[in-house]
Amino acid sequence: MEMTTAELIGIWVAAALTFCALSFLYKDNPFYQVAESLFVGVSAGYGAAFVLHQVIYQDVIIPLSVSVQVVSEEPSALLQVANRILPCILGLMILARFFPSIGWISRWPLAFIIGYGTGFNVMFIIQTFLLPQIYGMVKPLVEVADPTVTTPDVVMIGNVPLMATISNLVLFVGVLAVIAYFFFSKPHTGAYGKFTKFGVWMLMLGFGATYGNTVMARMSLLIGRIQFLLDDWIQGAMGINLPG
Amino acid sequence: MAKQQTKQQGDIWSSLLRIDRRIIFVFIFVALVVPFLIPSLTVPVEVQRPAQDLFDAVAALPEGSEVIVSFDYGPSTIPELSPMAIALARHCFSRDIRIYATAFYMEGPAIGEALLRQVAEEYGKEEHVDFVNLGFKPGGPPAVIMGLASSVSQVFPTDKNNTPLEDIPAMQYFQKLTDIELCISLSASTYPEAWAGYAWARVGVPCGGGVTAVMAADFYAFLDTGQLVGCLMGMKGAAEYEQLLVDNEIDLDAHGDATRAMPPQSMAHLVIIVFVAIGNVAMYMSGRTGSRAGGKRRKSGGR
Amino acid sequence: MRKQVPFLIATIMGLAMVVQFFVPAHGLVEMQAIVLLYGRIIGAFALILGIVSLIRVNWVRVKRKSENWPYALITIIGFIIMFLAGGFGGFFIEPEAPAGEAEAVAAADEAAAWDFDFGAGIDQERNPVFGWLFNYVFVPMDATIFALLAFYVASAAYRAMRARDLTAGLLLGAAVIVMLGRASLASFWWDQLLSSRIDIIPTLGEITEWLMVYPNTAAKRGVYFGVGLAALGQAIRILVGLERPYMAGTSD
Repeated sequence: MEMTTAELIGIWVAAALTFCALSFLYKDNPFYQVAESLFVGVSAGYGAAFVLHQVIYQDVIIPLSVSVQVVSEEPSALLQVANRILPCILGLMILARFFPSIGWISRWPLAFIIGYGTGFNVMFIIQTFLLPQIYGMVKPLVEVADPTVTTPDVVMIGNVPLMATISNLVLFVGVLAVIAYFFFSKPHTGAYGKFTKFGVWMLMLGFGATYGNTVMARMSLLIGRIQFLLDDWIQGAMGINLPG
Repeated sequence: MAKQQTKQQGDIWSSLLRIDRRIIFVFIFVALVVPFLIPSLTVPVEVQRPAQDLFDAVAALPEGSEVIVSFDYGPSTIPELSPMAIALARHCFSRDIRIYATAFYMEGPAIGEALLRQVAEEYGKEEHVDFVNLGFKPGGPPAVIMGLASSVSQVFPTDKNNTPLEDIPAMQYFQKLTDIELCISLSASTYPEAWAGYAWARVGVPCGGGVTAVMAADFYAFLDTGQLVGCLMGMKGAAEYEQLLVDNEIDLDAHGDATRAMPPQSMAHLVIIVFVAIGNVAMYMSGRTGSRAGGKRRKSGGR
Repeated sequence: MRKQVPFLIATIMGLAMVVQFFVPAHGLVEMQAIVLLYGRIIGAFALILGIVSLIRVNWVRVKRKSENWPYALITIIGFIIMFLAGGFGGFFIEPEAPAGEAEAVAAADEAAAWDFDFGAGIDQERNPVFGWLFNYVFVPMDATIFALLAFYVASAAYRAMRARDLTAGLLLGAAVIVMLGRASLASFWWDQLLSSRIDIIPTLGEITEWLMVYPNTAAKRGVYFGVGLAALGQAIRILVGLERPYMAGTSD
C-alpha cells in the first residue's frame, strides 16, 4: 500500500518514541523522560479537546443556543436553559479546590456526584453482585444426563456424569469455604479450620489463574508493539521484506 | 575436595537466583520476535466456551438488528481488544447488523472510529447508515447507560464528530436502550460488569463482553449466572473469534493480528515457564526454600 | 453551609435514586434523567480539574526552574499542541454535506441557527493533524509504556513464583496450567501427544477452562459476596453521613 509522507514521518516518529520508551528497560534516561513527558502532555491535551467537544459543546453550547433562541416563544425553554447553566455552575464550583480559602465550595458538586452515584450503586451491587451470584449457587449439584441431548461425561455412574457432579460440588463447597475463610469472628481451628483451608486452596487456584492470565495479557501488549515495529516500521516505512 | 565442589555448585545455583533481570528481558524479546519471522509456525486455535457463546449470541440476532459496541479501553490495550472489535464488526456487518459505538474511556471513540471505518470499507458499509460512533460522555456508567435507557438524544445529542442525531439515518432505529438487541463492552477494566448491572439487570438488554486477559478470571462468575451471554478473554479470545469467523465461512480472511500473535504468545509463555522451573530448581538446589515472610530457611541443600 | 449542605445534598440525591428504583413514577424518572445530565456535565468539570492541576503543577516547575524543568515544559507544549489541534481544528474544516439533499438543506438551516460550529475537530480523518498526533504520538507512547510490563512480569515470575509450600504450589500450578492452556502451541503439542491418543485425558484447553469455570469462579464468587456486602455497607454509611468522602482534601 502506498504511504503518504505524513504517514511515513508518523511511523518513524512512532518507532522513535517506541524505542525511547523501551530504553527504560536498560535504565531510566533522558530519552525516556522526554517521551514520557510528551505523552503526559499529549494525553491531557487529548482529554481537554474531547471534553470541549463532547461535553462543553455538545451538552452545553448547542442546547443553550437552541433554547435561548426559542425562549421568547416558549417560556418552558427557560427550564432547559437553567438545566444547562446550573450544572455548569456546580461544575465550576469544583474548581474552587484550587483556592484553599474557598475550597469547601467544591464539596457541593462532589456531594451531588457522590450522592447520586451511591444511590445507584446500592441497587447496582444488589443486582450485579449479590442476588445473581446467590442465584448462581442455587441449582442442582448432581446433573442427570439425558443421553439423547448431552454428550456423556468421561466417567458415568448410571445416568450421572461423575466429573460434572464433582465440578459442581467443587464450585458450591468452594464458595462456602472461601466465605468461611473471610469470616474472622470464629477461630480457624479444628474441622472449621480444615474447611477454611479448602477455601484458601480455591483462592490460590483463582489467584494463580489470574496470574497466568496476567502474564498472557502483558505479553499481548508487547506483541502489539513488536507487530508495529515489524509490520509498519521495518516492512512498511523501510520497505524491507521480512519472512513471515 | 568434594566439599568444595558442592559449595561451588551451590554458588552456581545461588547466582542463578540472582540473575540480572535484563537477561530475562532479552530472552522474552527474542521469544516474541522470532516466531513472527518463521512463516511456517502456525497453530490451530482451540475455541473455548465463552467465545463460542458470544459468537452464537451475535449469530442468533436477526439480520438488520442493532448492537452497541462499547470501546471501553485506551491505546495501552489495543493489541488485545482491537482484534476483538474488528472480528465482531466483521461478524455484525456480514449480517447487516448496525453498530452503535459508545465509550467509557476517552480514547475509545478515536480507536473505534478508525477501526469501524476500516472494517466498514471492507463490507461496503457507510458511517451514519450502518454504524454510528456516538463517542464518550463522563459521569460513569449510571449517567450514560441509564441515560440511554430513557433517551439516546439526551445523552448523545450529536455523534462524536458533532453531527446532530437528526441527520444520522441509522439513529431512527436507536431511540432508547430497549431498541438494542445486544450490548458488547470491550473493556480494559470492569465495564462489562457495569453493562450487566445496568443494561441487563435494569433494562433487560443482554450483554456480552470482551476483556483483557488480566480481567478474564473475574468474569467467569458472570458467565455462569447468565449476566453476560459470552465473553472474549484476551488476545486468545480474539483469535478464537477470528477462528469462528473462518470456521463458519463468514469471512475466510478473518485470521488477523490475534491469530498471527498466537505463536509468539505461546513461545513467551514457554520461556517464562522454563524460567519459573529454573527458579524453583535453583531454590531447592541452593537450599533457599524458606518462606520470605517468616525468613525460615530449611537446610535441604545438596539434594 | 460547609458541612451540613453537602451532607444533605448527598443524602437526598442518593435516597432519591433508590426511591426512583422502587417507585418508577413518571416525575421521578424525569428527575433521574435531569440528575444524570447534571452528573455528566459536572463529571466533565471533574476531568477539567485533573487536567488543570496537571498543567498547573508543570507550569510551576517551569516558572521556578526546578529540577528537570525542561521535561515539564515538554508536557505543557504537548498539551497545548494537542488541545489546539483537537479542540479548535474543526473551525478549519469545511462542513461535510449529508447524504440526502433534503437532509443537506435541513442541516444547513440548523447550522445557520447556531452561531458557530466546532465541526469535525476530533474526527481523525477530517482533522489530519489531530489524527496524526493521536496515532503516531499518543498511541505508541501509551502502548509501549504499558508493554514494558511484559518484561517486568516475566522477571517477577522468575523471582516470586516458587513452590515453597502447598498453597504456593497450587498458585504456581494454576498459573502454569493457564499459561500453557492459553498458549496455542503448548495446547497443540499436548493434544497431539496425549489427548488425541488417550480418551480419558482432556485437552489442555479443557483443563484450563475447568480451572477457570470451577475453582476460579468459586474464589471470585466468594470474594464478590464479601466485596458486595462491604460496598453496600459503605454506600449506606455515605447515605446516612457516617462517611463523607466529599469532604476530603478541603479544609474549613
